[in-house]
Amino acid sequence: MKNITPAELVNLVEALARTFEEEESSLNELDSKVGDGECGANLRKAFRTASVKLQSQLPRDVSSVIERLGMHFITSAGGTIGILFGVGIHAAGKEAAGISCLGATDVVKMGNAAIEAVKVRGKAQTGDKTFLDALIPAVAAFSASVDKGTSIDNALNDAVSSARKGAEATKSMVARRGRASYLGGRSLGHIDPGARAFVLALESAQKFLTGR
Amino acid sequence: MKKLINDPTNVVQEMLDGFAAAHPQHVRLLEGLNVVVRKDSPVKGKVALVSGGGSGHEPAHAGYVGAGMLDAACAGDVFTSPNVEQILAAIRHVSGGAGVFLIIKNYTGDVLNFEMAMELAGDEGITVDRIIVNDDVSVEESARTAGRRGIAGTVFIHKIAGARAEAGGSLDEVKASAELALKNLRSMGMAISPCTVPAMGKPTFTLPDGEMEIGMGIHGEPGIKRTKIMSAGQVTEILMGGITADLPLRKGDEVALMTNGLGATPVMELYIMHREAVSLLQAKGVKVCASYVGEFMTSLEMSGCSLTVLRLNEELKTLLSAPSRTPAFVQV
Repeated sequence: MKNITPAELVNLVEALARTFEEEESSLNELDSKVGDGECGANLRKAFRTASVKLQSQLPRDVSSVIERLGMHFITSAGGTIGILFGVGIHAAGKEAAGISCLGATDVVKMGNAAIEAVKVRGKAQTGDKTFLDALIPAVAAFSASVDKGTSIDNALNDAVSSARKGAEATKSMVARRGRASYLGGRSLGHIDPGARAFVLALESAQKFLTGR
Repeated sequence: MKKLINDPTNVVQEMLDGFAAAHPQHVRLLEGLNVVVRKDSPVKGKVALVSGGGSGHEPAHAGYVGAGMLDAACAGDVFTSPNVEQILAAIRHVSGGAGVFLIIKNYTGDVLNFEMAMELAGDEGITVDRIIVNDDVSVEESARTAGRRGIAGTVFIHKIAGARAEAGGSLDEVKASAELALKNLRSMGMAISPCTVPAMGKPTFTLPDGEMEIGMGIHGEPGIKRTKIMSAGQVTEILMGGITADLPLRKGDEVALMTNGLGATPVMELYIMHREAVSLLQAKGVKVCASYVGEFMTSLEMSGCSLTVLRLNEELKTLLSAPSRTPAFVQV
């Protein structure tokens, strides 16, 4: 897989916007089991407005595109999932400062920066039944594959399958953060909608990147 | 879904248009932001109060914007926190040079968005402080949950902090009064039928005929237990029991009592609940100095109610009885 240019990132955000338009109701449905049923609508709106905004400005470098995307989510998404995605994206963008085209090791660093930022802002840990439970294994799998010297395409495959497993595993977790935590044991048996949303985003990114 | 709306995606903005048209003597809107501000804002030299939250809880919070209470209310989508952009715009607009005080209900999204806006406003040189209201005793306060939720008792925090700010209190003094009130504030609610978020089109939960949920949150979050419907007297005993288990009241204590309807409860039933609550308190030798019965923080068309007790001392009594002129809370 080739490195990723700023212009491609802008197109990637458009691909994500389409994914979340298609998946809005399935995410809302999941969220209505454990939250308040607006996760899909929230992300659909945030990605759509982000894509419109990014396309109206000339992309300079990858860092500024990603940081701007993160800041857009932070300031305009509202709710919980949007702002936390934004915090992660923004931290990843900062980590990419000075890089003209993203390579595999950059992505690992950015992923780890995102994890740390989300943990701090969301006061959440592994096992709390949040999107960290999909993000953390995805970054770990991607990093391990890159270390082994496999191709980026394979690393991305590993990341996607680990994220899916991580999201699936949230079914057997009791929520400790967010609105789902009020359910206590009643949150068992349901996939965390944030974790599912992260899987959808990652799958969409993989499809876009390998289809270039 | 049967609702008196035009388009589910425009409900918040259209409601606020109507709200502003109805109350021009108190408020105006910040264009395109779904932020309601006090008509004469910014008030120079006064600590400015900003609150808000998801829509669907009307008259909260826009109904409490006006003299003696809030300077701004930010309205998010239905049951969704307002975004940072809205909150930051509200802070900038109402800042009168004496600092800005945020009143945040304890929900993950609200806390995230308000605190992020607070940090950004701080970077711009505006002094901002905040209180996180968590009056709902139905949620266990532990590391295993997001903590107690903010519900109808938040209105008393608006009133107490607002009166202190109106009287010229500094940001620290406003915060101290708000914290004093919060320490003496407890609420608990229950529901007998659910509500439907317009954009979703179906009820957020279901309650079989003849059942009720004790401890239900104002977004339909689950409570402590589901049980067969009981009489008003029995329900009041449960709610007041939850409140007083956490806020022990002694003979001679003075309180303010709020009986709040969640949106579809007949006023008749609210007064019946209030009667029961007053008599329970009187039986304990507690004096109810001020009563508030009606809809203060609703949950769309949910039916059910919440009880809120604010234990008073001289300071809180003075601040609670100070005048306020807002669309939903007028006190002379």
